Amino acid sequence: MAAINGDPAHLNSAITTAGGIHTVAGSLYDGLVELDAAGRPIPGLAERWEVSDGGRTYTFHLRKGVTWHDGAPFTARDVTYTFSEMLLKYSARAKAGLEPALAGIDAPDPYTVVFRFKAPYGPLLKRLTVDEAPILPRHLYEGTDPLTNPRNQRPVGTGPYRFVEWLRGDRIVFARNERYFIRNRPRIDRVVWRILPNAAAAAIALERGEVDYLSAVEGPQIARLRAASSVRVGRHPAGAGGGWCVNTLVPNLRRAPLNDARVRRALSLAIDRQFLSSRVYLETASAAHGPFHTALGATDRTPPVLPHDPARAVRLLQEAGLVARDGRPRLRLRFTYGTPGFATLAETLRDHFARVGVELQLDPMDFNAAVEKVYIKQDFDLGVASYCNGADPDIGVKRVYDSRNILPIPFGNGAAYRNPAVDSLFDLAVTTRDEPRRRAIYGRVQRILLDEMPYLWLVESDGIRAWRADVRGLRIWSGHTFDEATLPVR
Amino acid sequence: MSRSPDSIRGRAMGEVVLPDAEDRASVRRAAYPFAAQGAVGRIALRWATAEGVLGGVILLVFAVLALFPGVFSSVDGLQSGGPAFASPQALYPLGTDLLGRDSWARLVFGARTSLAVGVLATLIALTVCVLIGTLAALLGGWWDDLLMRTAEIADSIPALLLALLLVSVVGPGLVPVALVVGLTGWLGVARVVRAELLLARDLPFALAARALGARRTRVALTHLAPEVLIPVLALIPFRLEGAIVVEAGLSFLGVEDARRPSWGAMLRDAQSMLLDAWWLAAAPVVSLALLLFALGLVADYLQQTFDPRMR
Amino acid sequence: MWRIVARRLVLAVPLLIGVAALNFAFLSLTPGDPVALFFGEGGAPDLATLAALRERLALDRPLPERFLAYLGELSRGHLGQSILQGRPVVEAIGERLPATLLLAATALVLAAILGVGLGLWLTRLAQRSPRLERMAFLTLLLGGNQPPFVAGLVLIVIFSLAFGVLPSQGMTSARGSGGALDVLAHLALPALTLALQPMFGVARVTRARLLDVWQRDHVRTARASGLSEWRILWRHALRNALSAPVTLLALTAAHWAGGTVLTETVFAWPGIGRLAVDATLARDYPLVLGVILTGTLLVVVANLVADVALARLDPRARHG
Repeated sequence: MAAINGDPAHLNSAITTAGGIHTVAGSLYDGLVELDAAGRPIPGLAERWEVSDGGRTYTFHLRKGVTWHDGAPFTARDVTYTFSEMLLKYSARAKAGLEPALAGIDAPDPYTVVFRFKAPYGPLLKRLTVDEAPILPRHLYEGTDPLTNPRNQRPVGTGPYRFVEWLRGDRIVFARNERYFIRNRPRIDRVVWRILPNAAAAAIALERGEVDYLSAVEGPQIARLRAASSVRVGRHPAGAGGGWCVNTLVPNLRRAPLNDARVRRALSLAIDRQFLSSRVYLETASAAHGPFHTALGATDRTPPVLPHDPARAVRLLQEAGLVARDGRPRLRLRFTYGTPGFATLAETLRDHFARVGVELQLDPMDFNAAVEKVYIKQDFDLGVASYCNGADPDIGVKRVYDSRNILPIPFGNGAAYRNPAVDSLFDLAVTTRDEPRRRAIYGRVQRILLDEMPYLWLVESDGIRAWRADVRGLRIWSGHTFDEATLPVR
Repeated sequence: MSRSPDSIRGRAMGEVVLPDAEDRASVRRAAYPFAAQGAVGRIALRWATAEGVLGGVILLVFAVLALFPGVFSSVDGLQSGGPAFASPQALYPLGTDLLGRDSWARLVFGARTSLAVGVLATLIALTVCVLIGTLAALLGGWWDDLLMRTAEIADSIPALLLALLLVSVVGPGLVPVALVVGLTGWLGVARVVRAELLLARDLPFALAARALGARRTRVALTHLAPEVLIPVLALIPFRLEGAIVVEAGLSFLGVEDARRPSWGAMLRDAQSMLLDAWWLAAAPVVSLALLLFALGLVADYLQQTFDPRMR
Repeated sequence: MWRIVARRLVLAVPLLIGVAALNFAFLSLTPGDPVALFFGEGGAPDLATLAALRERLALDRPLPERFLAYLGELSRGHLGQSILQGRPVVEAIGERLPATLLLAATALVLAAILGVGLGLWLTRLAQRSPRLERMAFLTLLLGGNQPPFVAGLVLIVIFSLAFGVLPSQGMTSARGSGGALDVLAHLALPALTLALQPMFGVARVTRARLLDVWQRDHVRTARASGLSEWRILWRHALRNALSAPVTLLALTAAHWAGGTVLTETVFAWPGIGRLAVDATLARDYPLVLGVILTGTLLVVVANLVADVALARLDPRARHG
């Protein structure tokens, strides 16, 4: 009785960061640890853990007696297999952050897993949730290609719900895992994920009680659902498979005049971010402060919202020599973006830029073609992406600014920003376990980036979900959405 | 069994050809859905002028809006900044959308886009149809098969795929959208053209002309062309209305000319807020309905007046 | 008759190969990359993994080689593996096709019945009062033709939200049994939405043909012999008038063969149209081609059925 907006391709959430797959598959699997609403680690498949060797070694003691949905016992070898053959190979965020730091993962006995690092490593616990690192069954995957294993279509996990059936394009049905390792959980017997692709119709379906939970609500529907007495609306920066998203313009720094920081600052000043958040994104996002989503609490102090100052933007453009004969600024940029998702944003930005004399030529295409053009072919002036991350700034943010990640791969350092100081600060932050010191380091990163403006951060978006008022205890920030939820008998 | 070999082939290959000359008129009447016969026809004819004038006036209004949108609205419907979701009022006669853009301005400037797409797409479709249908019918035999089979293959390309490809080649704008709308779903018209020609070819006057030694192209141009053009003209309103609706569907799927407002984009925006801002949907829906109504009236009038066989 | 059916089926083979070739070329020319979004919005793991995936999917091979390999697969009756779903295309299509067929067939029947009914009613009205008929007809023109994503939502607002009588989303209800009645209730609104456009078309051509047939000799004779007008309409006129709407419906069915994506989206109907759009946007080449070929096959069948129906309606065409 829950709804998602598109049919997932498969349900193996260890080989992809696709949000649609994680939203559904989260309930099937477990991570070694989970996070509570405040982001503190709580036991998952591991019941306790120790950190030794100054942060170089993490030892996890696994729960005993946990079984897979097919009855096979869960052991430490499932964990080592999932990491070495799936997460570290195919999950972009795990591979980018964990692999370079890791010295090895061992299973000295069936109920112990040891992570060894080359240097002290801070953010490991936040990388082990079901959203970042779900554990999959080795006995069903070993010796096969995890990308095409038929189990991706009929998944088996340890999670609170087990897979029952999948009517393609219509619904995916889960039933309560009677042998779940936390007693009395979950409480709801069946979860039916319905695939409702049209946002307006899905909102009507929730109002009518055809579904109980919408995993994604779009801006135009919020006001109406808020007003409905039978419906509750909630927001959270996190979500299944990640969150803390910052919608960001990607300038191509390989091209003049975008390689001039003054021009990028001018463009940033031309954007009215309050207008974007209140109108384009309605209530789903707030004006951005910089590269880190504020809710991550990544830095020692939060700078003010990036200012809107068209007059200063004009002066900066004139300073940069981009003037026509009459002395007014003159600049023409091509904006490559995916439709229909970014269409309203594009039309608004064209309007904002026009007021400072910058002509934004819209080049709409479908999402796939836009990703190829910006990241793989690198043939663009301005692109746009919603960069989403994990619960720690090391999980996701770094890839965007790291000069070693200037590669023809999707959602990397698309602007081709290169600053050795930023690279080494990101590296330093990972090996720092003292939280205040880490925040100070990320604070320095933030100040450099805000000065150089290699990207134009627009808004920080939150996930908006809605549910029937009588459903209680939803964990809307996690892939384990229904662990504690209750539903009155209707 | 006195049918020509061509009409046998036509039937065999899947085109709907009514074989007997006696049936020609009814084929044609079927293609003129507005036409009516007998007593009804006489009434219709009496009314036709009034209706034609009404339709013409409506069309003229739309044409003027599309040609001189600036006269009717001081803004071009792209500027944001007004209040969001204002309901219709003195300052905004048709309300505003979420960015605070004036719906009236978007409707007026959108008329230009939608009519341009519609007219361009219709021209493209009719050119292709007349060309393929005529060649197939006149060349006959092996060429006929080849052309109609090729047409079937071309018709199989999904509109969305064609749109993605054309936008990447031509760039975003009116032209690729019009091309997509024009180049999909025209097979039926090509068949009508071909079928009409096959029937007309064996009419007494065409046969006579050929017997007198006239060349094939000459017969085609002087005798057959009018036979084909009239039913094709009757199909124009339907292509035009189809084009505008397909344009709306494409913008729903994300393919549009983002540089100017269009009725399709307005419909797409409106559908997500149907319950909260009904005026956003009302403006394009009513305009579309009125346009189609006027097209129907005018088409009917033209037929009643200019096609002698309909009397 | 049957010789023609056989010939048409044989001709379908080169037609399918042509369709495959053209769309294969088009797909390859369209920008976009099947591996671009394969690993999700978090990005791709690294260059080597992308290259390995491209190699496994044979995307690194020259176009003619890939097409020949695809034809080879086709000749063995395979449609290949879906890139996105990692399983046979035939399976992926097989699961979604019945929903579209059910929706399209219901809509066709609905359009035929309502459209012909409306045409009959108009004709009948015309005999009583041409003036009234003209007004009714013009009003129908106004009702015209709106895109399904608007018409569909209006129907949802009326029948689901305001009256609460019909479900708005999906093919069966989440809690219910999924019995035939349940499916029927879910089918009502999407089928009506889809039927609206051809329904008006059918009404228009039926009316035109009926008014025409009405002037013919055998009908005049029947009228002279004192039969009731409804009876004449039904017995003598309708049969002769039906070929036009059947032709129109066949063309409509052909257009629906590629799926009825807008209606499917609004009503969350699990049909093949949404599969096709999802596959196109993901550049899942084998899946897109599979859906297109299925559509072409359906067009061939729809045309065939229409012609057989025409031959039955019109005895003169039977030997054609």
